[in-house]
Amino acid sequence: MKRILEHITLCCQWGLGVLALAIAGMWLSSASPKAPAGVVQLRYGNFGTPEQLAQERTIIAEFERAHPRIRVKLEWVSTGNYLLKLKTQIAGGNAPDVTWIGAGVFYEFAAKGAFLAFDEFLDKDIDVHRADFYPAMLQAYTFKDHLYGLPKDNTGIVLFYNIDALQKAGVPLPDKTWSWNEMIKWGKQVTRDTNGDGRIDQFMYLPLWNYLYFYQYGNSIFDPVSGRCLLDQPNAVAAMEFQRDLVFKYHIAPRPLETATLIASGGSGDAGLGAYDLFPLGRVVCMPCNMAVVPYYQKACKFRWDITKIPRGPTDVQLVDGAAYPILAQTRYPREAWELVKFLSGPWVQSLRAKAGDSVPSLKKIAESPLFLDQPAPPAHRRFVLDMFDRYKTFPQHERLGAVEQITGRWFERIMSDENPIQVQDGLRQCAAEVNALIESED
Amino acid sequence: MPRNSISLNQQSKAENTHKSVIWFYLLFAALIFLLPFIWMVRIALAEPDRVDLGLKLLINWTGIRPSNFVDAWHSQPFNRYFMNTASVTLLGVVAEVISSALVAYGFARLTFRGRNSLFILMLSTMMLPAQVTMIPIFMLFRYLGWIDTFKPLIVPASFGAPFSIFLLRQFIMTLPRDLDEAAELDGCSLLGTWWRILLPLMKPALLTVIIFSFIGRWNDLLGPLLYLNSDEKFTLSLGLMAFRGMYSTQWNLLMAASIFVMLPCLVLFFIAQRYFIQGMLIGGLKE
Repeated sequence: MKRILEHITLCCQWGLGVLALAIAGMWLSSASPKAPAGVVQLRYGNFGTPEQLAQERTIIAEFERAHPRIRVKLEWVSTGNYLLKLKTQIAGGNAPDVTWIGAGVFYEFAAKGAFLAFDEFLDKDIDVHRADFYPAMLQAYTFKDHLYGLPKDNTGIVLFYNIDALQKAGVPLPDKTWSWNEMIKWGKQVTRDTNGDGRIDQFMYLPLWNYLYFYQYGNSIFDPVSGRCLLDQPNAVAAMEFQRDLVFKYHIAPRPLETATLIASGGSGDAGLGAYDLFPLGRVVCMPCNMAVVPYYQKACKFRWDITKIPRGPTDVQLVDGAAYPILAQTRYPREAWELVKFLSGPWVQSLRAKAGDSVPSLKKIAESPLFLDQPAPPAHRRFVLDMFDRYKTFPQHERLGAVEQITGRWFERIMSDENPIQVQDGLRQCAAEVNALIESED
Repeated sequence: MPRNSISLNQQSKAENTHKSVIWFYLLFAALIFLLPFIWMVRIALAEPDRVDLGLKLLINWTGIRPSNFVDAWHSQPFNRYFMNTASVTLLGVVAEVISSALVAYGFARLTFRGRNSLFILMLSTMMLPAQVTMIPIFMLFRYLGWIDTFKPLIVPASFGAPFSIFLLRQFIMTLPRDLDEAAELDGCSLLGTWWRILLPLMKPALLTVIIFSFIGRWNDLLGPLLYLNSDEKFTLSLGLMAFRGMYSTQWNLLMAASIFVMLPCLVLFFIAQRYFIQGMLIGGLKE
C-alpha cells in the first residue's frame, strides 16, 4: 500500500512538472498572427542594423497601404548572419518569399535555382522597364540570359580621400584623370611618420578589392566559355605584382603586419573589417570602398573628405558592387512577391534610399536627381559614381565563388605576406590549379 | 633576546615575504585576466562614433559617457529580448537537468543488454559538428511546424544532453550502491531511489550541469538565428549582433549591452562557484 501511495505521489509530482512545462511551452510557442482571409501574407527576409530596420518598416507600411490585399512579414537578422540563415531556410524548404542579396553571392544562389526568373513578369508588367536601370546593374543579376533580381542599389567601388591630409602634405587632390602613377608619385610624399616615433603611421593607400586590379590588367578571373580559372595568366601575375609593389617596392601602402599594428593600435580590430577604420583614423589617406560605408564615414571622420573614381590602370575598368531583390523559387505567391519587388525597386523606395545616402539608387531618374546628387553631407562629388557606369564590371560570376574565394584569399595572403612570401607567379599558378581542381570536381 | 625567538621572527618574516610574493603574483595575474573586462567597460563608456578604441583608451579616461548603458538598452526592445531569453533558458535548463539526470541514472545503475553500446552511441553524438545536423534538424522542425516558435530551443532539451548525461553518470557511479540497496530494502522504487536518495546527493554535479546549460542556452546564437523569424521573439544574443554593421560596429553600445547580457551568467557562477569547482573535480573521483 505504502509503495502504491509513493508511486501515486511521485506520478503527481511529475505530472505537475510536465503540465507546468507544457503550459509554459504553449505560451512560448504562440505562433505569429495569421493574415485574414483573402489577404496574402508575404515573408520578406532582410538584414541590417536597427536603423536600417526602422527604414524597412516604413517601407513595408507604405507598401501595405498601397496594397491592402498583401501583408508583409519582415524577417530581419543582423548583418553577417543572414546568408547562413537564408541558406538553411532554402535547404530546409522554409525560405522567405522575397529577400535582398549582394552582387558577390547572387550568382551562387541563382545557379542553384534558388530564385525565380523575372522574364515573364517583365514581359507582362508595363510599369517596369529594363531601361529604367543601369545596364551594369542588370547584368550583375543576370544568370544564363535570365534576370533574377531587380537592383536594390549600386555601390560602385570609389576612392575615398582625406582632403585635409592631402592638402597638409602639399599634394593635389585625386581626380578622374589620375592613374596609378600619380597615386605612387604623390603617395611617397604622403606616406610618413607623423609623430616621430620611427614608425610610419600615415599611408597613402590600402590595396583592397583584389578583383579591381585584375580587371584593370585585363584578367577576368574565369574564362567565360570554359569556366576555368585564369589567375595563372600573365596579366593576372602583372596585376598581383602591381599590388605587391604598392606595398613592398613603393611602400605607399602598409605591409600586412603594419596594417595589423595600425588596427590594433587604434582601430576596432574587427576581423576583416577593421581595415576600413584606418581611413577615419587618418592612417590611410586614400581608401577604396563602396558607398555603403558613407554613413559610417560621415559620423566617424573628423576631417574633410570626398570621393573620386579609382585611378586608371592599364585599362580604366571600375568594379561595381550592389544588391538586388530576388523572389525565392519556393514562394507560393509569385505575383504578390513581384508586386513587392517592384515596389522596393520603385521610385518611392529609391527616393528614400537616395536621402539615406548609403548607396546609389538603382533607378536612373532618382540617381541623377538632386535628391541623390545634392546633399549637404559629404561626399560632395557623388556624380563620379554615375559617370563610371560605362566602365563598370561586376564581381566574377561563378557558381562556386564562395568556395573559390576561400582558396584565392589564402593564396593572395601568402603572396602579399611579408614573412616567407611565395613568388607571385608560383603562387598564382598553384592558386589557379587548386581552383580548377575544385571546379572540375564539381563537374 | 632568546635564540628561539629570533629564529621564529626570521621564520615569520620569511613566511610574510613568501606570502607577499604570492599575493603580488596573484594580483598581477588577476589584473591581466581582468584587463579584457576593464577594456570592455571602458569601450562601453566611450563616446559614440569614436574610432580609436585600442588599448590606449585604457590610459585615457576622458570623455566618459555612462548614458551609453541606457542608450544601448533602449536602442532595441531588450526588455522583451531579456524575457524571451530568460524563459527559453530557464525552461531549457530545467528540462535538460531533469532528463539528463534520469538518463544518467539509467546508464549508471540499471543493467541491461547493450547498455555500454548505447552509452558509446550517445557519446558519439557529441563528436558530430553542429553544421552536419543543422539542415536535417531544421527540416524536422519545419515538418513539425515549429519554425518561428520557441519549441526548437526548449523541447530537445527534455531528451537530455550528452555531455550532461556523461557528467552525471560519472558522478552517480561514485556514489555507493549500498544507498540504493538500503532504499530498495525500505521499499523504495527505482524512480523513488533516484528522486529521494540520489538527486539530493548529486547537488554539485547538478549545479555544474545547470551552469553549463544556463551559459550555453543564454548565449546561444545559432539556434535562435535559425529557428526564430519574428523579431518580437528574438533573444539577447540576436539583439547584440544587431550592433554590428557591414563596415562599422557601434562598439560602445555593443559593449554596454554585452555587460548587461553577461551579468546573469556572472551572478549564477558566483552563487554556485563552490559547488561548480567541486563538480568539476568529479572526473578525478573513483568509486
